[in-house]
Amino acid sequence: MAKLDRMSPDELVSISKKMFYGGLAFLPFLWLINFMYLFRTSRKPSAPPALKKYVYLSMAGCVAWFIVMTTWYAVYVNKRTSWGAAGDQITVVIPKGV
Amino acid sequence: MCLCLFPFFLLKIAEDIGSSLYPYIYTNLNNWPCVRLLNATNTIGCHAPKTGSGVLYHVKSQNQMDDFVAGQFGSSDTYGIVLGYNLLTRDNINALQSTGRVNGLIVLLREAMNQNDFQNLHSPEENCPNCQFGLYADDDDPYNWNPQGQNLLESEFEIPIFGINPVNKISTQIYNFVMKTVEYNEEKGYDNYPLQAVDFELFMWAAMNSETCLRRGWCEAIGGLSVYSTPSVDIQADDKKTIVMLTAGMDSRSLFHDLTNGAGHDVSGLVGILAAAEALSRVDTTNLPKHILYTAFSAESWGYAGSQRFVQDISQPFTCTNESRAVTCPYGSNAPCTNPCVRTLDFKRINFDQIDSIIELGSISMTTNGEYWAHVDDIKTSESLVASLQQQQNTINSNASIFSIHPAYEDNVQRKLPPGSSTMSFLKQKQNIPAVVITDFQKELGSLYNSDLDDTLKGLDLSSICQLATTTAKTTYLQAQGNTSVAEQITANCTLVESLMDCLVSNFSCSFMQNYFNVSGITRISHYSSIFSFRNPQPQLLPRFVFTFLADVTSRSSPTLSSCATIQDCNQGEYCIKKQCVQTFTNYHDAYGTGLKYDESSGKVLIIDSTKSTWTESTWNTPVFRTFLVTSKTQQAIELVVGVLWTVISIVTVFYGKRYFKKTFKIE
Repeated sequence: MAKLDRMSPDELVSISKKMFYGGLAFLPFLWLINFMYLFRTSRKPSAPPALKKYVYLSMAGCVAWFIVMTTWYAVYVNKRTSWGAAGDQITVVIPKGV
Repeated sequence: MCLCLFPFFLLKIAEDIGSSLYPYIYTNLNNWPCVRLLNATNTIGCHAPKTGSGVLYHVKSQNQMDDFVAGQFGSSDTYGIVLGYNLLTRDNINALQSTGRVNGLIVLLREAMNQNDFQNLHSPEENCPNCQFGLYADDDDPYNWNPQGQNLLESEFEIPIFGINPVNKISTQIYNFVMKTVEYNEEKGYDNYPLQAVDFELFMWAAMNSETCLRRGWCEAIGGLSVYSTPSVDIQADDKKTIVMLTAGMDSRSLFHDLTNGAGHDVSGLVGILAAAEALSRVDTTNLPKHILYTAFSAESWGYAGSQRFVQDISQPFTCTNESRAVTCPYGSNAPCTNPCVRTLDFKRINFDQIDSIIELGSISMTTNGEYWAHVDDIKTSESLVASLQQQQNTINSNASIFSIHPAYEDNVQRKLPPGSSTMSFLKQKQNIPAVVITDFQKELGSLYNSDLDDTLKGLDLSSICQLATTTAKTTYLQAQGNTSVAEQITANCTLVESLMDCLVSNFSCSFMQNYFNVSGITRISHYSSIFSFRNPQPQLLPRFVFTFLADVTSRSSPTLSSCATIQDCNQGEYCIKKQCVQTFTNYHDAYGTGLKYDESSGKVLIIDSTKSTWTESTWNTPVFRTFLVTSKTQQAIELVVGVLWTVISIVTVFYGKRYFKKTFKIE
């Protein structure tokens, strides 16, 4: 954390930008890390506005993923058996007895 | 290096202790469970992943049951209930399930019940079993054949149900052990812990319905092998001779499939036609104007699977495509056709349109005053057949016992054919065939219909079965003759009837059976049709016996008249029966639901018609039924609290102890 204070604004934006674009490869946790790592620094008055943009976008993306994943999980767990053969095809290990 | 091997060393010791301590804690017992079956729409039967433990408690009367359900017995514990079959009623099971304090049921069957428990029995079947697959499925107001029915056999249970019937060495051992543990609990008054408890594991793989489990490969089609036989060894489909059929069902059904017996329904009917076939074998039946065909169908309890498939196969044209198959045909290279794979094409020689009349023997062992009832579908069509039966019954003037056949409609109520009649499958195809189904009941199926208690020969009227067999044989002969008034001396062998009933109900290794098979050590056999194997269809013991018996009575000697030890010693197409090579027209026929189809090119079973029988049986893990000692819930709670407190105190002590020592002795 100490090292962050000694980085130039350009370096910070570069790190955040890399983490943001990296997270587009289906890596929501990278977005979360982006947010958690750089949130404090982005709130300082000396932070560049671009940093704020990337950090907040990452958080938004992470939240969106979370909502999509949770909804899919809920739908899948409850409806899988009623989907018949299609449900079995998208399942790796089909539970016995249910 | 020794230090890093230490954890593995410890693990190994722990495993050894775990597996070596197991027999000191648990006693695993053999068991006979109720299992899960599936059809086109739902599942029935029992399925339970591991249950919790339940203290063994023997409920001996309905009062005790009511007290338990009302919560007037027992602490907050869960119980494993031991009860007699008479207490296994719909209301009791529902009440027990809803208490939430029962982890399973152990049901005591006939040999473990008290005499006075037999008074108020009810059939576990539905009001009209298999009616949705029968001839009257579309009737507006079908007759209620089983008003006392508990409707247990088609229910789904949340708790595991196991049965015990001490009829042989192993089951008696298990029964004695269970009774001993139950008495141990009783003596301790159910509150002086530790007490004996039981837990169950009855995990069924299949779920939802037949289509789902067949797709996943977790269930198998229920079925067996039917047997058909005729003395007319040279029968052909186009020989312009009509056929008189004599038929019976070969399988039974009850809650515990390993223990299914069905002495009344349907072994007695089967014995009746076997005795009639034997009686007819002593006169010449090959030169009559009509053929006589004996049929015994398997899997009849499962939507008339055997008879429907037989009717389907003999009335539809058979096309042999010889396409490629997923699995090789189990009948080898000699099979007459490899796709569809059939063991014989003899069924094509039976012409459905030539079936002239049908006589079926249903449950015929529990008559009152030797009275039998002849059921018909349509009075006008079949009344001449009934009259013929009554006429032949009059010729038997036995002083020893009374015996009579009455039309079931003689009280002017037309109930039509009773459930369980294979005849329905034939009439479905062509309703104007004269047909009669003879049973020992007129209005109701009776309290032992499809019950696990239908397994005794006591109180059965064997002499009436014999006389009925004689009457049936005579009537069949006259039908086949074209009803000229020549009366042959045809009588059934009453000793044969007794032997057959004894062998098929209580002791399959009886001396009579040694004439056909070298069998020993098998006393009771289950009459549940079990599953049909498409890869390796082997006849079960009962169809195998029926085949051999019918082959024997309908055979003509081989022209070469050689004696033999096995079938390999005889010519192609001949069988080795009772150490002689014989020629016979006796065959097996596949029996499994007509709603199912075996797709030979993929090796999978598919559902093609959900309105017909689609019964399958789930695959399962080995069911576990074990007893062990438990302590009371209070004691367990105290142990937990003490343990947690101890942990917390230890942590706190170590923490403050370290700080104190650091300060006092200046140690880091």
